[in-house]
Amino acid sequence: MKKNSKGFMLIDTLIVSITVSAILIYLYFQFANVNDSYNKAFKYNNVERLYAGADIKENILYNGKDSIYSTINSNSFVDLSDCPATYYNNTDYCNMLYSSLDIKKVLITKSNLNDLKTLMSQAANVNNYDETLRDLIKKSPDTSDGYQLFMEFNNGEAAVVWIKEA
Amino acid sequence: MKNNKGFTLVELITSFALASVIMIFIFNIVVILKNNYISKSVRTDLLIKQSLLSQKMNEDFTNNNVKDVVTCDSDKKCYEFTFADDTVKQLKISADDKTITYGDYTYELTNSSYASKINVSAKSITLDDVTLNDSLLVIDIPILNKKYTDTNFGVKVVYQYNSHIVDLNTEEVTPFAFNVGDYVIMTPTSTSFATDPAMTGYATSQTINPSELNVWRIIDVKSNGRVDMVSEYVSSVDINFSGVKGYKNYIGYLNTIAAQYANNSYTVSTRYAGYSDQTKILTSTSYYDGSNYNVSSWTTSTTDNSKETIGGGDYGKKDADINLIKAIGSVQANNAKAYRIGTTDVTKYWIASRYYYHVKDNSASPAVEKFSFRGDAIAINGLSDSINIREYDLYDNGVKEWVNAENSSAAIRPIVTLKAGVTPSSGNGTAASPYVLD
Repeated sequence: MKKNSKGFMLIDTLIVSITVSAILIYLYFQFANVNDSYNKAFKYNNVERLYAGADIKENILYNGKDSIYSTINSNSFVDLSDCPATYYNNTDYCNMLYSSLDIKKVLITKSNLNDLKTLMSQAANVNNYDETLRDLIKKSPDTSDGYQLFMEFNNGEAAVVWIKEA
Repeated sequence: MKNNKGFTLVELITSFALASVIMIFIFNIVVILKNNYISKSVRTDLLIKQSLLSQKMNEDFTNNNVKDVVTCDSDKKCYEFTFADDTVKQLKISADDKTITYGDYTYELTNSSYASKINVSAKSITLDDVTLNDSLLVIDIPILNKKYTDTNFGVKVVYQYNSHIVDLNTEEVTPFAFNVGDYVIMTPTSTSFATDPAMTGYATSQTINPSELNVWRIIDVKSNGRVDMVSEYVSSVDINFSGVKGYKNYIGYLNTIAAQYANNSYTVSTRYAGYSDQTKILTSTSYYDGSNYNVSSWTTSTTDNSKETIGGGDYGKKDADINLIKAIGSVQANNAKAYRIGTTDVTKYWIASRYYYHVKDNSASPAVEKFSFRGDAIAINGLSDSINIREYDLYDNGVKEWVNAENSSAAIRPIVTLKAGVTPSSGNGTAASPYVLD
C-alpha cells in the first residue's frame, strides 16, 4: 500500500492551532481568576479590619440609639457612614472614631441578608457603595439572629461582623 | 515502497512557528508564576505577621484597661504600656527597623520591609454624658515594603475609653496639633460641578473644577479636635448671580457650591466664607413692601438684622469668618485679599452675606427711594465690597418697580472643616512644605 506522503494539510494546521490556542486561553483565564481571587482574599475580613469592626460595634452598642433597630425593621438596613444624629447620641465621638479607623462606609442590617442583597443591586446603591462592599454583601451568609455590620475602608478593604445583641 | 520524502519546508516552518508561540507563552507563564510566587509569599508573610501582631495587641487592649503610656526613646521607636493589672508591655522597633517586639513576641520583617516609627496619639472630646466613651488612644505602626509602595502592612490599634472612668496618663503622647495659619494640601474629591441657572438666576450654567483649589490655610482649631480651613486661592471661574432669583438663593447656593469642595476622607462639613446661620434661601423680600417699610419715615440705616428673614440684610454676621481670614493674611497681613488660583492676580470673591443699600431721591417727583439688593464680596483692594444683584425703586406715591436685573460675578472661596484626629502624612505646615493629606 502506498503511504501518505502529502504532509500536513491547511486544515490540520488550523485544527491544531485553534485547539492549542483554546487551551492556552483557557489556562490564561484560569490563572487570572486564581490571581484575582488571591488579591481579593486579603481585601475581605482581615484581622486588622475585624478588630476595627469590633470597635464600631462597641460604639453602636454604647453610643447608638434604639432608632437604629426600628429603622432596620422598616428599611432593611441603616447607613451609619455619616454618624447621623438620628442614630448616635454623640456624633463628634463617632466621627473621631471613624476617622481613626479609616472608615468610609458603615451599614447595619438584619441577620437575613436577602433584602440588603436585593437593594444593593439597585442603581442608586450601586453608585453609592463600592464594588468591594457590594461583593462582600453578596457573598456573606445569613446569621442565625442579631444584626450584621458591614464596613468599607478608605483603602478599599471591607469587613463584616456579627452583632448578636441589640 | 518506503516513504522517504520527510517533512516539507512549509511543514517544518509551520511546526516551529507553532511550537515557538507555545513555548514563549508557557515561558511567560512560568516567569509570571515564579514572580508571583516570590512576591505573594512576601505579601502573605507580611499579612500573617500583621494579623498576629494585631491580634496580640488588640487582645490586650480589649481585655485590659490602660493606665499609662510612656516613651522609651526619643525616636518614636519605643513605647511602654502599663495596664490596669500592672502588667507592662513594651512595643519597640529595632535599630535596623527590621524587627518589631511587643511584650514577649518578636516579629522579624521580611526582606525589603521596614517599620520606621510608632505613632501614638491621644484624642478626646468633651461630652455632657459622663457615662459614654469620650477618648481614643491610637497606636499606629506603619510597615512598608519596597515592592508594594502603595500598601501599608502595618498595625493600627484604637483603644476607646471613658476618661471619667479610666485614668490614662497620656502626658508623653501628643495629639497632632494644627496651628492657625498652617498650610495644608488637600484635594477636593469632586472634579466638576455645573451651577443651576434656576438657583443663580444667571442665564446659563457655569462649570467649576473643585479639585483645583487644593491649598488650604488653617483659620480655626476647635476644642473638639476639628479644624476649619479656607482655600488659599479663589476659583479660576467667576460665578454669576442675577435678579430676584439670584438674590433670594444667594447664600444657600454659595453653601451648595462650597459643599463641592469636600474631601470624602478628611472633611466633615463645609460652608461658604462668611456664612453664619443667615437665611440661606429667602422666600420673601417683603421688607421692602409698604407694610414693612414706611416711605414716610425712611431711615438712613443700611441694615436691620431683625428683618433678615424678609430681606433686611445680615450686616455683621459675615465678620466672624472675615476676621479669621484676615488673621492669616494670605496676600497681605490683616487683609482678606486672595489670588486667583494659578496666578498672582488679586481677585474679587463672593462672601456669604446679603446687603442692601438705599438712597432717597427728593428731587424726583414723586420722591423715590432706590434700593440695591446686593451680595457682599471682598474687593480687589481687600476691603468689604457689595455687588448689585438687583435694583428696586419705591415711590412715595406707593408705586414700586424692579429695575436692572444685573449679572454680577465674583470668584469662589470655600471653607471646609476637617474631621477630628486627622494626621498629615508629611510636611511641616509652612508655605514651602505644607502638611499633606493624601
